[in-house]
Amino acid sequence: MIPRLGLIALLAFFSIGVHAQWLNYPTPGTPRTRDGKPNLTAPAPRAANGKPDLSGVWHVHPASVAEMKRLFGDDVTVTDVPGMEIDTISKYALNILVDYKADEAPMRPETAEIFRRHAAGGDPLGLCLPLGIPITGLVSEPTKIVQSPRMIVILYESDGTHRQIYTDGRALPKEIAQPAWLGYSAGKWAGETLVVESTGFNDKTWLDLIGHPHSEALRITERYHRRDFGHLDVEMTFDDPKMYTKPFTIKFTEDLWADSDIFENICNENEKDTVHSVKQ
Amino acid sequence: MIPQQRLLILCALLSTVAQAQWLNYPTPGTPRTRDGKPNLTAPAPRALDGKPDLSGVWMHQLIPLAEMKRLFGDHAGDVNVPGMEIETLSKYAVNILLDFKPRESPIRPEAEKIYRQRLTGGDTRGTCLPVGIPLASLLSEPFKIVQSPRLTAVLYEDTHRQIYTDGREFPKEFAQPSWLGYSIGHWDRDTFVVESAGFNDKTWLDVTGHPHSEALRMTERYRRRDFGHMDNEMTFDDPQMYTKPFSIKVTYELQPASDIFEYFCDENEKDSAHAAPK
Repeated sequence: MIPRLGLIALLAFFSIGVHAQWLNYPTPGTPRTRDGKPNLTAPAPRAANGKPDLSGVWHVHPASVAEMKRLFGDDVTVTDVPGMEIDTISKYALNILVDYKADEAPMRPETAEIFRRHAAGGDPLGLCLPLGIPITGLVSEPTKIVQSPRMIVILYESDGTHRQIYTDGRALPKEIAQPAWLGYSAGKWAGETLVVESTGFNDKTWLDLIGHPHSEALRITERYHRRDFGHLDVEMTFDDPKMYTKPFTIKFTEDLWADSDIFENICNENEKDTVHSVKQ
Repeated sequence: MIPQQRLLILCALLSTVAQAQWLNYPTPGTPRTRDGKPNLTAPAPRALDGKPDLSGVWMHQLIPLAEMKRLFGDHAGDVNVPGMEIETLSKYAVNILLDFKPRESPIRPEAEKIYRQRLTGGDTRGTCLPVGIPLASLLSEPFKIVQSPRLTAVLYEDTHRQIYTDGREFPKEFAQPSWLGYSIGHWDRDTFVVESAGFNDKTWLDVTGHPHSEALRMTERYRRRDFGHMDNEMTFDDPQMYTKPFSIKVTYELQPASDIFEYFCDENEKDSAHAAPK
């Protein structure tokens, strides 16, 4: 169970009350039904090189309030930040190991100790630092994929970061001289699925909002499959032998937010307000 | 002339010491000379739709320290932040109106007043806010263009910008001005023309503080002359602050074996915050 106050604080940090003015712009290239609505079950589009085109504005398919209550207890719904309701985020954002029974979680004892320390308070998120992978794509804000032939970029609204996925055939570096917040990612196509391997993460980000840790040894494998125009199936496998006894996998679907967009979110602008209000 | 202290502080604020993992990775698709070096005068590449492909890591063409000293005075060379030496900045990053003689500057008196205040009063904004456009591409760090059919993304080390190329026009009104504005691009033969509006008025046009209002409209004309060089003519039209539109011309050089690295100002900020109370 998650301490209630802790959760509220976490969610409050992510709140942004912004609505981009070009939201609802009818995006060209979107297949539509007779009544003009986006046809989300139309076939997935293809890029000029014949690969599936993953470009678009995506958001993790959120859990229902009932499901979140069942998983995390009744208190989980207690947040009053508009746009940050509990049913706008993934269950994995709250607990990356939610699929495991408590005594079957593949956490090493020393990891459980770090996790308890994180969950008890040491929240690093208020400092306007990157949320990292996977959290930044599992919260209330959408992400945007921009696919070009040699590079796929993911733009995140939640913390304003961007991630580069090299698709120019390069292999991951053998040695990592400089661990990075978002790591290093290389992708290749396996049939219709984009397989992304990532390494070179620093150990400063958490895997979820309650503080499951990872080490610099973390490797992530992601498999992206655009099932149809409106749905992207994602499978993420985390392999961090220093922290977890075996690799574990989460699966979720991202929904296309047709005719929508991401907006810029400047954490320090919000932070500045906080500082000012505290002083008064 | 710019007060020396002021310039030092500005530069220190923007300093990054970053080494990307994949620096010196020989980028596939780069034309090479016989000895294996990137051929920077080879023709500009084309995207699958036949348009010039502007994708790549770019850095404005550097000018010698002597030239910077000539323009901004001898103390311009005194900056001692590694990687942030004055000759790593574009001259327009220091003064966007550099090409004008003082008497011919199109700055309105009220804009001049704001500029003077900033020159002497310092930067009272938060230290980790976006530097905005055009500054983000005129400082010591390279930027990266990723061109896809309907959207061109510009990645700076700490932020990103979207340029829509799907045929849309500007929204009728900008209910919510933003730090990086709203940009739409189209091709004029081989020149990528980007028009931007919808900026907030919080960013400065240069590090010394030339202001702009929310009425700012910007037009950029990007032309990739050859594989290794891209010219950009930027025109700023802000009738509230300037009596007429003015333009700067910048040449970017491709960084063929380089990359941008992630940079999070708050990481440095966090360190200073922790250090301060002790």
